[in-house]
Amino acid sequence: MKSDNLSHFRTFIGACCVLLIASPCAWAEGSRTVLAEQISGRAQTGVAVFYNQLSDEVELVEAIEVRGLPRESWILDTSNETLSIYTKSPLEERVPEMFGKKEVYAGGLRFRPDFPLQVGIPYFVVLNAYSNESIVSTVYSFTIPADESPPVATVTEVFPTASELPANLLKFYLHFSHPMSVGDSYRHIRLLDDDGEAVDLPFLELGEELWDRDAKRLTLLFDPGRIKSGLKPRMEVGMALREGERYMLQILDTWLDAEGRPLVEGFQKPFVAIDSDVESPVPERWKLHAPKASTRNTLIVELGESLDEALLQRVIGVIDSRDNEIGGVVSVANGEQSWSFVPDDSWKSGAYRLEIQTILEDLAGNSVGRPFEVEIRREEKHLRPPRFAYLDFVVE
Amino acid sequence: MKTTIARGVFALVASLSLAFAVQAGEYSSHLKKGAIQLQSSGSIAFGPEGILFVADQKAATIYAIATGDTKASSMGKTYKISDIDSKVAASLGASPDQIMINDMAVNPVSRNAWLSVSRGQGASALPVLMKVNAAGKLSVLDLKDVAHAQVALPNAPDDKITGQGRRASNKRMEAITDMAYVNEQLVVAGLSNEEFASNLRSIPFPFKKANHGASIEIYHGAHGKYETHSPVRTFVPFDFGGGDVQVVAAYTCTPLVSFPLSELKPKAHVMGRTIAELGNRNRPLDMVVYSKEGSDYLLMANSSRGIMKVETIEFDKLPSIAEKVSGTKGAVYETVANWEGIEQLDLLDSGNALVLQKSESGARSLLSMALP
Repeated sequence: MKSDNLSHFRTFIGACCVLLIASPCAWAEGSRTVLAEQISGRAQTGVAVFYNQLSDEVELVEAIEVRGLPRESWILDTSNETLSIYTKSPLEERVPEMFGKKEVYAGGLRFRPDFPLQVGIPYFVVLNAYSNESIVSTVYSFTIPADESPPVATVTEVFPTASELPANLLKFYLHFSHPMSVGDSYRHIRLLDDDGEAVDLPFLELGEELWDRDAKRLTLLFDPGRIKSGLKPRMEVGMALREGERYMLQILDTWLDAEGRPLVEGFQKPFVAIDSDVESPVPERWKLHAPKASTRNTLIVELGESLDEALLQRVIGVIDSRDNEIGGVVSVANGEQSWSFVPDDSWKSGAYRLEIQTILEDLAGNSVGRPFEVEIRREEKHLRPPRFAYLDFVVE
Repeated sequence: MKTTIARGVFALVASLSLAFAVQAGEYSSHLKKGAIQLQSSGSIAFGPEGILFVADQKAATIYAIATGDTKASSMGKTYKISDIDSKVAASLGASPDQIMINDMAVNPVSRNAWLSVSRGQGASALPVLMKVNAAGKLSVLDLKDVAHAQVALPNAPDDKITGQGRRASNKRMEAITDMAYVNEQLVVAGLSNEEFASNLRSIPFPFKKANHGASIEIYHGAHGKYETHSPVRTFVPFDFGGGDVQVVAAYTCTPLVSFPLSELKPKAHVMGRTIAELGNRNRPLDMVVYSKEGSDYLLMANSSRGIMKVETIEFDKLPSIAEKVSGTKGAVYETVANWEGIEQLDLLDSGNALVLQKSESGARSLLSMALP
């Protein structure tokens, strides 16, 4: 958590100001300086930008100040038309000026941008001021230089980790070491068949990409229209994966992290598609190795098949005979075929239960409560599965 | 994002909107002033009295915000704003690649366009709600002190937690794929980034304490033989008149279905009636319904086929989902020329749509287009 807060904080800088070159920038101690270049108009005043750069992404600017411009030269008291900041040169292209608050400050003008500045792109400062009863427009430009930092983000893991996956596989989870750019993800992902040809549109390409809050894990769903029985996409082009064939999931290094750097390297996951899995996981078939009392030994559950890693991490709990949940740490291993649990405190002698939310799925979306596709039988219509399934065990 | 219309009463609604706007506002009076700290801004939809619903999926919260954009406008506004991304980016002080327009909605009172925008990338992306008027003037909705109400979706870590180790690893989040307001209900479609289940909720508005709305399971049937969960990707409520409101929805597995709004009740098991099967490469993006020359139509933007205009006249007579829908059996639709690259779609007025259209160069425009 600490490092997350730090990285969030690091995306902002403390201060930046545009002011007379000679003026000291008292509140930006330790700041760097870049001279704003005058690109047009009659010289009115020099402009410099002081800033603290703590990151190479975006910069929080508390204020942009212009000092030394004689009061009588302002166009309006509110300075609305005297000072404007743009992302494009007004000499070349007309774009809206940046949102911010303009105010008078100790004889100078202050612009407080509503949004942080971005490194590496030019900003244009336009000063319109009266000079000898005519309006003189001067344009300055500055860029907060980007740190040339090398790529750092990598693909840390792709789930499922097994190399044999059912042909009706429903999803991959792609884990990254750093927050990633969002909104253009599918362009950087390929599924290749054994001939190295890209499988055509295997994934559900949603406008709302399925990231976690930190933008470090993307859920990549296969197109359910190509998995479900009797649907047109499946009839037209078939399932994305064919039983017995070899595939390669490729993640390209062109994918940019949240700070605009490409991945350190691409990632490849070879796998073989095996028979489709159309059955629900059955907890009664799991092998449970009960730990000994008075130890903090690991409770190990062999699942007999690979299950969904993300759900395994959070939908199985351990409760004691009085229905109290036991605190502990879960881990998933062995191609997601093994779930284990280390309790915070020693096991006590007695009866325990594994409490399993029935939303737990296998790799093909069959949940404990319900297979992915259910054959409709009239007498069983519309039955909701219970929320939990249980496995009893005894600690001795 | 969506505007519901009732058969034959659109003109009446339009003329009444002036009256709604100048009243004190029975819905607005349920909102309280205060600061909102959005963590993200995704889907947006307008309710009554210029109230904007905003899905903050990072916070698993939906806000109802009084936009103050309540000055009624007559019909006839024309939008022709080219390269809207660049303009939005410039006003937020960023380059266009740092801007994502997540959703667009027309305020039916003022007929101003509203955009849900992310500025920046990753966890530090800033959510922004912007108004765009027909002249192309942009403004940001200030959230520091604004009348609002909120409802938390019960989808955050909803499981029992076994110790801090598991708490830290819970990455579940629900993408809100669409929202619409109809008959004092906010209907919200979501898709989990973990379990493959349908998440459709009907939340009463004004929001009531501790009422997160009814969670409805939506299914898809095939051959009369199988059924599967079917998350909804995009939908539009459609008032057939006489209280018969249908929800026309596109599932993530592509069929276009309809079901009565009245079926969206707690613990309901809703199977839509398939009205069209769209086939491969055809990903529905957005929908509106409208009336023209006495008939009602559904207009659907999708990723590959331009825009589809679907006749709704036979919606209620189509075969039940239990039967297999062959290519010829579904609703009749035509692909409308000149409507390529539509990414966002809403009704501007009874004769026009407002669209976000992507050109071949990749630049996007905000345009009003006469309904086909």
